[in-house]
Amino acid sequence: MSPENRNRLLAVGALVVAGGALAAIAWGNIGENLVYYWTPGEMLSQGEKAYGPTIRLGGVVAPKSIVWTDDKQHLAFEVADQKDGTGPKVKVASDQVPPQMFREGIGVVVEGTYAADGVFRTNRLMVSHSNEYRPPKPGEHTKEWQKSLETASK
Amino acid sequence: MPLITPLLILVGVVGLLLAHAFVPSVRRWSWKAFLGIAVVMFLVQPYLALSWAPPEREMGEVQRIMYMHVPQVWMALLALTLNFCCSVAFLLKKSWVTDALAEASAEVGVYFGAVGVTLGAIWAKPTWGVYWDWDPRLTTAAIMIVIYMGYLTLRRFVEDPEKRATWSSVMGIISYVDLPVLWFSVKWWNSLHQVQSSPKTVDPDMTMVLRWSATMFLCLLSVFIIHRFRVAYAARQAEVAPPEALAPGAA
Amino acid sequence: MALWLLQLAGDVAQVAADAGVQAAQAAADAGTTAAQDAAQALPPPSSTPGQMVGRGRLVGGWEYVWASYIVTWTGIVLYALSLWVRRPKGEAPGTGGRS
Repeated sequence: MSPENRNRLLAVGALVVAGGALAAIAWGNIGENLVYYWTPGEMLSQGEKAYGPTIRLGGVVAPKSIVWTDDKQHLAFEVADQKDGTGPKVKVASDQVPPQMFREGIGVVVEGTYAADGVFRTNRLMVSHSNEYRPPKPGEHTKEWQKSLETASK
Repeated sequence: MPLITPLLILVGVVGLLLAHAFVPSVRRWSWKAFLGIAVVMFLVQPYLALSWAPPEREMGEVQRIMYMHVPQVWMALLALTLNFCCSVAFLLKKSWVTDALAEASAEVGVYFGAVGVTLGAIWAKPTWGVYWDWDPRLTTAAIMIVIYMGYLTLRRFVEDPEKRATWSSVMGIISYVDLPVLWFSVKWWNSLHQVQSSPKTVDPDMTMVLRWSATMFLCLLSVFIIHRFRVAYAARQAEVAPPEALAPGAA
Repeated sequence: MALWLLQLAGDVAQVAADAGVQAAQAAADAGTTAAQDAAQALPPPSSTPGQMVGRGRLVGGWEYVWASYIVTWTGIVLYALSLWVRRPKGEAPGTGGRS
């Protein structure tokens, strides 16, 4: 075989291998085994298998579910599938100071263990941001919060 | 400044890139034009990104890192796509130009990828709360950098120019699988990283600064690849030249 | 250039002032319900982590923005330098060598 033909064959072969690998990742089962986090619904459907091992749970902080201890060292909240807090929910107890952006309704990923008492204990709490980038609304600028807080405290 | 400005500059830059690719006489001076545009845009960019653009509603000032992180990752993807095209082109038709361009684009791609991922980690700490986590997007980005560093290592270790060009082309094609996976990872799997934004989800002022920064980094990418190509092409010519032609250079 | 440098200097001063005001305020307002109500209604502007936590707003963080610029600029300088060092030696030496 001439070197030119060998190279063309290599090109076709490499492209087929690459395309096949990509297709396997995109449509095959490989993707299903790579789970970065479980949603509350997915984790609860695992039943007892979810108890024990270190796993990641991801979802939305359910509205009005955040409870702090008095010393602000510990916090508990619920992670839900849905932004409005409906559907499956899991109680999470965290002893880590959350990032500043933590609030009700924001996406979170927590790493820790789930136990039979129905509480997910975590020491690694991460907050995710949506793909929306907006300027502050009037009254939301940092300096304006400062003013309103100063006025309120006088 | 009208919001369309960076798009107009981008059209000019892309036009110049096409001229560089297809008109040989342009190649003598085009890199100076890219450098000139890049320098001017780099001088204005900090004002646009750090002062002119509004802070983000939730992320505040930290969101400004977007103007550096996102375009540099784009440049990495662009450079490695060029590497893929050169790899295919070399196997279809042997040419030291495409081989040198493949080498240049891979190295510049790794450079921008490494900076882009570093900036992503810097952005992640205040927003996510951690510098790093093995989410699908971050993992595929890390794989990209490691694979292409392997590609560059392979090029360095194969002595014979023909074998090096052939086998690195094969590796370039197969390595490229990671890039579409990286791109779609945020859609295919649960991830910590947000999905791609679009002008619909980004404030117009922020979009303008992002486009400005992207055009600026595209000029820088062009300068880097042009010069890295000259290094690689000179090395290739020295390797494949007959011995008597080598002698004056070696003396 | 001078314009944005000035503005940035202003921002830095503001952050410093915020921190000072906030510390004094936190000491003075401990237990005042008015301040707590305000804090409920609006995210507090404090840059002290303890009070900012869990308010859904990121305040400050310029050091991360600066870090991203430092990494980018340092990278550009170092990579450009590496290209210059590796420039093809066939070109006439002493002509600046910006190849």
